[in-house]
Parts: sequence; C-alpha cells; structure tokens
Amino acid sequence: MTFDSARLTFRLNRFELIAFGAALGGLVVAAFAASAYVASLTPGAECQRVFESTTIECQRAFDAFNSAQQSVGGLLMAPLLLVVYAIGLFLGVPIVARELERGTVRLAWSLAPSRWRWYVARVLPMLVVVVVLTFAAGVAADRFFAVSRPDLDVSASFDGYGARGGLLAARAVFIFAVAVAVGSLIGRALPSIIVAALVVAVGLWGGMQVHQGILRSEAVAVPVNQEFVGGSGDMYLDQQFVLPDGTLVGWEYFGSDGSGPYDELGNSKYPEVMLIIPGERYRFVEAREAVALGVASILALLLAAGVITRRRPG
Amino acid sequence: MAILETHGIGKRYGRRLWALRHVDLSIPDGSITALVGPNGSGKSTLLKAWVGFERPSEGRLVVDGIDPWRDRGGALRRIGYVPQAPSLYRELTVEEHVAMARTLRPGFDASIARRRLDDLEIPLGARADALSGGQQAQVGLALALGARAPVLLLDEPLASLDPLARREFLHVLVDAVRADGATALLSSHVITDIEQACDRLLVLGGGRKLLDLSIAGAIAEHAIVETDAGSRVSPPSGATIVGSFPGPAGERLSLVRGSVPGGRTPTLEELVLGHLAAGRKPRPAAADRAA
Repeated sequence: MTFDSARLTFRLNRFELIAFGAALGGLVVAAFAASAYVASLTPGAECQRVFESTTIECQRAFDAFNSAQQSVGGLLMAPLLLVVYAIGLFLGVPIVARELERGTVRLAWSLAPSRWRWYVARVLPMLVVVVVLTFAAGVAADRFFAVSRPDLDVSASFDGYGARGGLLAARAVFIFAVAVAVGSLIGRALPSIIVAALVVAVGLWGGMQVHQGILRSEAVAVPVNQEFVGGSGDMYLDQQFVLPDGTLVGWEYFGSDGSGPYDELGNSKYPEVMLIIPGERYRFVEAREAVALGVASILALLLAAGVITRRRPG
Repeated sequence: MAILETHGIGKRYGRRLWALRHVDLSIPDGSITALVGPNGSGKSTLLKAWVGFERPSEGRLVVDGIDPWRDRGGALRRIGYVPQAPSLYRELTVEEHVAMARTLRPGFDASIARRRLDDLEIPLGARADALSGGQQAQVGLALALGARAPVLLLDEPLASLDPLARREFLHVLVDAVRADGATALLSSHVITDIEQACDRLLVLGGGRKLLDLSIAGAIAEHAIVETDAGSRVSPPSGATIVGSFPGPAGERLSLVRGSVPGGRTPTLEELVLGHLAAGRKPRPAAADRAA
C-alpha cells in the first residue's frame, strides 16, 4: 500500500472522516480538558484525612468536585462511548458497500489484477484511523476515570470497565470489521448499516455472556460482610449462599416450599459470599477481551476479503 | 491467431434463464470486433466472463491462453476494460483516477492516459461528476489504454454519447489499437458508427452466436431482397433466407445468404437486423396462445 492509495481512500471517505473525526476529536479534547478541570477541583489532602468529620470548606470542596465530576462525566462520557461505537459502524460499512452500490468496483476491479490489493488499500488506512481515534478516546476516558476516582488506582480497578482504555478501541475495531464484512456481503450501504448494527449488538452481547461465564469460573468468593467491592475496584459478579457442605448456591437453589435462605427475622440461615474478580486482575481481563475481539475482527476482515474475491461487481 | 476464445460457453442465471448458451468464439489477434445484439442477448455477460466478473455455467473461455476464472489476475493483466455504465468515482478528479489506476495496476502507464486526456482537452483537475457523459467515457477509455493491455473489452461505451462524442471516442480507440497492435471487442447498439471502426462483426441473439465474420466478408456473403409486406420470398437454389425485417418505408426486406438475382448489397445495419430477426424466438400464433 502506498501513500497515494491511502490518500485516495481518505478522499473517498472524506465526509465520514471529517464528520466522525471532528466529533470524536472534539470529545477527546473536551474529555482531557474536563479531566484537567475536575482534577483542579480535587479536595486537598487535609480534606481526605478528615473526611469523617469534615470542615465546611472541605465539604464545599467535595460538593464542587462531585458536582463537576458527575455533570461533566454525564455530558461527555456517554457521547464519547456512542461516537466510538458509531465510528466503527459508519467508517466500516461504506468502504466496500458503497463501491458495490455505485458500481465503481467495476472500474477498480478491472484495473486491479489482485482484489486483495484493492481491499487492503481501502481497509487498512481506515482501520488505522479507527484505531488511532478510538485509542485516543480510550486514553481520554481512562484519564477522566482516574481524576474522578482519586482514591483508586484505575489500572487495578474494574470501574468503567469497557468504557475506557484500550478495550474501547478493541470494541470499535470489532464493530468496524463486522461493518466491513456485512457491507461486502450485502453490497448496499443503508441496509448494511442496519444489519451490521444488529450483528454487532448480538455479537457483543454473546461475547459478554461467554466472558461472564469465564469470569464466573475465575471468581473469588469473599464474605459479604467484608467491605464492599464497589469502592475497591473489584468486579462484582454475584451473591451466593454457602451450604453446610461448602457448596455455593444462588437464590434459585431454594425451592418454592417456603424454605428460603432467610429466617423469620430476615437473617440469613447460611453464610453469604460475594463472587468477585479482584481489581488487580483488571489489566489481564481487559487484555484478554481485547485479544478475543482482535481475533474476531481479523476473522471478520478475512470473511470480507473472501467475499470480495468471489463476488460479482454487480 | 486467436487471443479471445470461448468453447461451448454458457451462463445461466437462476434455474432456467440462460444469458449465453453453447457459444464458440475465436477473436483474432489485432482485430477490432463489433459485438452486436439486442438487450439481453448476452453481450455484457460475455465481456464480464472474460474479465472474470462472471463465472460460466458451462464451457470455458480464455484470454491469451488464460482462463480468467482460474487465474483472474493473469487474465486481467492482459485486459483493459471499459464498463457499461460510467463507473468513475464522482468524488475524485480525473488526475486522481489516473493515480488510483497506477496504485492498483502494476505497470500502468499514467503518461499514456494523461496524453489521451490532454489531447481531448479533458481537464485533469475536474471532478468526475463535473464531466459530460462523453468525457466520462473518454476517461474510462484512457484508463483502459493506460493499462497497456493487449486486449481491450468495451461494454457499450457509446450508449449515452452524442454523435460527435461517439465519433471522437471511436477515433481515439482505433488510433490506439492500431498503434499498439492490440485487439478490441466493442459491444454496441449503434451500428452505423462501428462500421467505420471495426473490421469484424459478432452478432449475438437470445444468448447464441448468430454471426461471426469479418465485416467485408459478411457483406459480400449476403444480399438484400425487397418484397411486398406479407408476401413470401422463395430463395433461389444455393441461397437461404437468413431473416426478414421491415424496411424504412414499410416494405419487407429479407437478408439472404448467397447471391440472388435482383438482390443488392446489404448495409451493415441490414446485415445485423437480418441476423437478429433470425435469432428472435418465434412468437406463438394467436390460436396457440389462446389454447
């Protein structure tokens, strides 16, 4: 692939690149700016020390920090996530589908002895753009989570899992690859966007189910009366009861005969435990999901290549 | 020597619709062949099969000895193709089309394409959607010529052009083909224009080959007999009626193979019409339809 072919690919997708590049670029810059603003409002160390019996000044500082963090977070993080997902879809679908729809592949494929060459020249520059933009978005989201939770090490916390860091880019790449494949199969842009959105939704949901299953097999049981997890960066999966023989069971274990897990006073008859993934495993779990999404993306892009080498240009 | 060949080629769409059936062809190297036939006669299908865009349902075909379905890359290296509908990228300028061709096609000679476009005063900086239909066709031809392929396949490039643009297009085509010693196969509905450009005539009808001869030979082998409408022509011995069709003044013209007393030399259009009439499926009689 040459600089010329990348430039032409960018020219062909100029509208999507400008629209989504501006939207995501703006959100990334805004997220960094917001992070700096929220960080500047972080209550000082003296307030952290005396949190239990805080002074009026510290209370005001905490209120200002929480208010800024919540309002800016709500304003920026949801659109950031939405645009990251949309960028994969809207940059992926037209690459092949629009060319098939407009008939320009008849010219391109008659000129190119190798359709692989054409495919790589079209897909690779756009893939690089998706990776760069969404990785920047992931870093920006990571930074925002870090300043929003100064009490946590975000590299060892499941807070905001999937909505920040490299995993955000991995999900965007997966959506992009599925969009390219669906566009190649259907050959029309608008129906491809709809179908690709459905396929992505089903694919991500199915992937999450599989991932949850894997995580449950790795979960650690901790007593429920231990200080909860929500503030410790651990990932909460489930709450279960420990039977006398040590077996862990859920609510569904207890039958409809009224013999529930609680006595008349509402106290549990059995010790309760929570299944969690410790926050220290965050990087590993994140990397594992990113690799799985990367493999799925490669398979989707290979499927698209296979379709392209066989299909009629219309 | 033949550079384009088909051997019993057929192409079926769905279960029953044959776009081509049992077609044997041999296009000689260095010729400019007109591929003529009505809509649905299989012209585009045949050209697309040579480009590797369509897979034959039966038989096989070769480009310079290469089967495009087995080695599409090898076949495409020998082909410059101008597709039926304008297939230019509307967002790109003419110069960017040349640049794209250079990136996609190893050995693409951009200077040839640019020179052709310069000669025709087509601005390289103009976007494709700002060009007229004739200019778009010329850009397509310039890109095909820049490929420096020994075979040029042109799928109805004249269809949307005005008479002057058609003449210019054919002039460029003939000049280039004669200069490079290439072979061209040009499908077209516009019979009068191709007469000056082509030396061979290939007529398809109903997916079958109806005629495949040099234009001079085809004209010499046929005659036109004029009859009153409704009357039947009995061909003299040694001659056969190819097909009958209405003349411009309502008279009935019959194309006859062989020499006929009172017959005259057919025009190329009459030659094609006679063969197309022969290739048309006979319509069932009214009584048959009612039954």
